[in-house]
Amino acid sequence: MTSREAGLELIHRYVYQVGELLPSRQRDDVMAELRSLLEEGVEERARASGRLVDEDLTAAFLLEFGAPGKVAERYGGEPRYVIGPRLFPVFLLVLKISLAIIGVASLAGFLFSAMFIPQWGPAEFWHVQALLSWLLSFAKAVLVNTAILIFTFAVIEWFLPPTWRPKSEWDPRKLPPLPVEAGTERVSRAIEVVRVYGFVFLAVVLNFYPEWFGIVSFSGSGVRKIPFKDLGMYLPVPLIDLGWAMAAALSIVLIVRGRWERWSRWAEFAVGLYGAVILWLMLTQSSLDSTHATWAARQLWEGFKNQNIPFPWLARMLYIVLVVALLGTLVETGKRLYRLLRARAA
Amino acid sequence: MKTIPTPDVPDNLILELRRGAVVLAVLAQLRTEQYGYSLKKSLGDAGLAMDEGTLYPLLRRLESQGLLRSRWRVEDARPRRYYRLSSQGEAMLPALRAEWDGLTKAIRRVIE
Repeated sequence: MTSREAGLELIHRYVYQVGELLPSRQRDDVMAELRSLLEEGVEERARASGRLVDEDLTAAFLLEFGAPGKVAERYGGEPRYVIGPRLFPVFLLVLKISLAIIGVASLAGFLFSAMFIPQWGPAEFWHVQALLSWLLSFAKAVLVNTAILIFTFAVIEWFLPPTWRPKSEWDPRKLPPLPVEAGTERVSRAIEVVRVYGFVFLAVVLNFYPEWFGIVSFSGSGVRKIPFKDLGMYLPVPLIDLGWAMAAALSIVLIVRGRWERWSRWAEFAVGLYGAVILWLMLTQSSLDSTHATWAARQLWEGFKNQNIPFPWLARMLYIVLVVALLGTLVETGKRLYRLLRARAA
Repeated sequence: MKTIPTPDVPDNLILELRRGAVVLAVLAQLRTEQYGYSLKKSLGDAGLAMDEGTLYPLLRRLESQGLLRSRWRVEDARPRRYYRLSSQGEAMLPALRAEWDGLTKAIRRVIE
């Protein structure tokens, strides 16, 4: 590497560090402009001093320009928040999507109960108690969801310090190197944040509100919930928690590091394999049969209360969901393994 | 004759003093299109040297406030972002200048 190339490489490392501290919305644009301005500034400085661009000259120039953290702050990256500007747009997006899903699912459940359950006809459709019970459960779901979301994002924000933030004194020569596969292997932080949120949400529901981890029906006499385990589904809660914890931890590490590495690809494969094993256990150990399903239908819906008719589709549906989940996980895990082995061979 | 030593004015006080004036100077300079580095030079030539780490983010802020508009142009094989006053900035500049004139007169009256 020539001395000029060393100087320009220092600028690229500097700009990359500033970019890491900027909100993603403006990152690429600011980085491009900053790179152009710094290169021009250094070249002008070299011309004025009758020298060639080299690492020393560039380092001195960058030192005057300011530490990456300070420059990023001036560009709009702020210091610390409960949910900072880097995460806030994703937070808003996830909040909107999750509230929409809760709203639609909740409303669909309510309408389904109202319209398709034989003994719950139009006369009772706007039954005050049913409506209130639905509204209360909806409000509770919204509150719990929002609380989990804020908590999750606050934790991620806490663990999302800049990868490199110099203190008062800094040396441009000590800027971290550029990632080898910059750009191609960059992690989509938004997706990882959504994943962490999803794992935390599911873990909270499974461990603290297990009655909601099942089938829910809104009827004239209130909300009725049949947990999956009462339907005969095998739920190894500690093992499931462990899987979600591992997956969430991997996502948090990816968010902090900002890029995929070989070890994190293997970790992703291992987590996938673990998930497949759990699903296999659930599929083989569950006793989802017609008896359970018929009992559940009678508990859930008024129309089946006094009827002793078999109701097998609920059990079949759960089996199908488990089989599809297992097959999907196996295919995805197999693809990950194939990519890893191919990369190793290359 | 005994001379009274002039104390150095701390940098932060100077920065504080210049902060508002710099915005007016930048807007006035950008009646014609310029990119960051050329603007820094023209301000410096006019006796208003500015730290690049302050000037470049300021341009982005003024653009986000709608006072400037920008576009990328490639010159000398280098992509450069050029800024100039937006129509809102052009409308704002005379008002800011009038404000500045009033302020300098008032300050002069106060300090003299």
